[in-house]
Amino acid sequence: MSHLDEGRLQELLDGEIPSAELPPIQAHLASCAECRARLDEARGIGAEADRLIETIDLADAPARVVPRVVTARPRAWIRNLAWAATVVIAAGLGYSARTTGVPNLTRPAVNDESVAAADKKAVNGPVLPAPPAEPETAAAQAPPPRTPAPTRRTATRAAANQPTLEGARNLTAGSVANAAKLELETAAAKETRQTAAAGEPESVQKKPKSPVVARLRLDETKVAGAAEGGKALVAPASVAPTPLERRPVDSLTTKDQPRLDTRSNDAFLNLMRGAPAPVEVTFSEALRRLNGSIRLIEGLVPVRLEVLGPDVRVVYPLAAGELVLAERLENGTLTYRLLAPAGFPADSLERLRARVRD
Amino acid sequence: MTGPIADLFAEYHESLVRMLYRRTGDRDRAEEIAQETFARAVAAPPRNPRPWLFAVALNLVREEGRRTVRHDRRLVLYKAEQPEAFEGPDETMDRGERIARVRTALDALTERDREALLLKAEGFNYEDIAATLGLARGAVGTTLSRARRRLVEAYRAGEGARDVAS
Repeated sequence: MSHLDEGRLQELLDGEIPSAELPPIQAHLASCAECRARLDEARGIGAEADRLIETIDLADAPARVVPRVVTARPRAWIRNLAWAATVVIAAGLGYSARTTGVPNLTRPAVNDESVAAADKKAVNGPVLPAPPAEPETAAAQAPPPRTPAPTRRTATRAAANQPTLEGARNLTAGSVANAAKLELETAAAKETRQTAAAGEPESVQKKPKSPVVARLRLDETKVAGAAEGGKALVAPASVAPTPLERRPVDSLTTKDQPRLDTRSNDAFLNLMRGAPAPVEVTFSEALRRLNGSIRLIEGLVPVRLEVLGPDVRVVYPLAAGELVLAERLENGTLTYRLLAPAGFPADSLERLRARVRD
Repeated sequence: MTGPIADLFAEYHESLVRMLYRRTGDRDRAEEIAQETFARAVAAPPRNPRPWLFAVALNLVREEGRRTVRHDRRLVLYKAEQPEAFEGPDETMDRGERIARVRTALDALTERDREALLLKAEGFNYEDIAATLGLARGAVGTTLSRARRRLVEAYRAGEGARDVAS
């Protein structure tokens, strides 16, 4: 064959030549010193070019720590948070509020099955104080247990069946329950530690039928809107802008819930309980906080990374909520713990624990 | 964030930001463009995600470049401060200086060549580079060959330069 041109040499070096086509090329190289020399030269240049490009590294330019949410248009962070106040209180008290006109084009479709399952778990687990009658009603009417389906596959199917924006709107309700579930689980678990660490205790009244008012503290967030959002929250809590309707808890389905940004709910729930809110961070920032290494669960893909106090939280989606791998540096050693929604099978948790890797 | 976009995000976000950072020299701008790109993916989920994401992102870079007059912060006085450095080996150079020189060398490439190189650095195969940049697959090899050569030449030519690049 004729000499190998530059493009061909590159293809060879980059492994882009199908194996079936290699033998004639190899044969030519074996007998052609010129091409061998050019190949060597190209290899050297390629290696140097790689080296040069790799000197520019993300680690050299840390990003500011700001919450990162994928949205289709700019969010009214503060306004959403204020609306969230009315709904989250309502949800916790067994009410649901109907709100309209809340712009929310956030995340894509979620599995309807997982949403319903999460709703069930949300109402059965330890939640915000609710009227005593509710849990029984919910338990009696809870949907029959279903075999868990792999979240990703069914979510993709759901996504394929719906236009994305529709899916995005439908998502939030279930996620409210999800987020509420998980944060309450972890908050309950950490409550004593946090109130001790928090300094001045927050005044959170746990009377079932009155609005919960809390002093808001935002920890580690550098979003300016957050502070204003905090102040704005107090007003809506006492002056509900929309009529509240009392509805049975089990009817908190996807269709009924108002469309809200989950992250605001998430954050607000925590604020209500006097806990700092987790702040979403970039991968590099998470690595930085853990001194360059991070544990992940092999085989799962995280949906986001957060920081809460000393913890870096790697959040994984589950059919029934979220699994959080919370890790931190303690005296220079990386320690971690796995936080799962209530009712998550212990043996599954053990299996996941076994898959935690650097 | 759950579902297919979360998967896309987890898989490509860091790579996209890194490519954009190398392309623009500005971390914040890279993050913003990445966010905008993923937002568009939410609105219109792509079938062939990696080429799509990177193509959209690169288009955004080009559009922004045309719209605004940007003060080029990447060019740094790299030799004027160190009169004897041109005699020294790479290793003694300050890393920041080295980075600045690589950037200058990258700037010496044509946009197409530069982008092909940066995509390759993110692990793209030729097919995806072709799809992302709108090249014929057969042209990718020659593009990369030229790009790699020019980068190395430009970098080496930076040695010994005493003038401020402007």
